[in-house]
Amino acid sequence: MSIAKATIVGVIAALAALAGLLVATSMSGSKNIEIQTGTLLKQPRAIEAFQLSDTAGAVFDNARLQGHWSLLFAGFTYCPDVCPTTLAMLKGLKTRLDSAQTPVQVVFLSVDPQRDTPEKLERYVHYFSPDFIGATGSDAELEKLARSLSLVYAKVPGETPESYTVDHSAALVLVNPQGQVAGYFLPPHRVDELSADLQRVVREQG
Amino acid sequence: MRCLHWLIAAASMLPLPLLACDGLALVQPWIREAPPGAAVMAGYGKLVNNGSKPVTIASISSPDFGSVEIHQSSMADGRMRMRRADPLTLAPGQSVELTPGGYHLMLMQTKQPLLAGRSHLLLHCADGDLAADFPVRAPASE
Ligand SMILES: [Cu+2]
Repeated sequence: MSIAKATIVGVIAALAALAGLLVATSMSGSKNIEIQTGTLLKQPRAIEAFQLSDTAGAVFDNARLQGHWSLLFAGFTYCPDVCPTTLAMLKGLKTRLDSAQTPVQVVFLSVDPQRDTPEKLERYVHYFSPDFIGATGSDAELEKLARSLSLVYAKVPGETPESYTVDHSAALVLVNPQGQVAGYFLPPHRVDELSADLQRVVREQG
Repeated sequence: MRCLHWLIAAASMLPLPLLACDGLALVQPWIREAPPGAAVMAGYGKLVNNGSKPVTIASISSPDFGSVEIHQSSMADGRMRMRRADPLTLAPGQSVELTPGGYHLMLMQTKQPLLAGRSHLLLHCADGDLAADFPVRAPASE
């Protein structure tokens, strides 16, 4: 092949790739939506197959994140200060979104399965809202999901073996109806801003 | 002189020591209402040293909890963390806010459900105790 021919082939291949990229971008509907409180990914990211349980004992896996928007938050019930503040904020947000016909599923992910039995998790999460889902599972499955969601958490020993605490990401993860990570919201979380942002995202990306 | 002795004797019969945690006050204490069965709860308020000497809170106890510690929540690198704080010492005139997301009283081993009730805590200082009565309620903002 001559150099000229190779160059032409190269240019055509590059143009095709670019066209493909443009089509893919427009098809996935990732218009640039400006939001106030977080970051939307230009390209939503798939979540690796995972399997946890909800507090009713039902499987909580990728399928439970499909067909609707979800907000996920990692925490644990032995967290009396920061986690209740976030869950109370989410309760206010959920009320606001429901009245604006913007249904969003709220999921509290316990990253402390040793202490958070399904019963404890159920009482804790449903105290804030009967609509909230509490989910947890094995360390391996939690770690896998956390990695997909870019969430981090780490157990920190306390004075006694039972009094350990768990450092965890403060971000809320937004998952789209295709079950992909669509973006993140970082604290301080404010109901007004989050509500406006989520209504806009759901309206424009369906 | 006799009269003074009598006064001291009378004072010692009061249920609360008069010179306890000298100058220390806890303003607007409250405990965050928690889900039923919660093993841990958080207490808040504003500690003020109105006295002329530094006051150190050595420990805290309560009949409603097996263990009480002062904790501090903080955020670094997008992570929430909670740690036991060193014993708090307040200089004369100093105040420390115990507030959601910052310092809090970590109330552990809850002995009974405290939904919308009250709880009593004793702050132990070098020279005695400060008794505080905590209403249990949801945060004002909710
Ligand atoms: Cu704490």
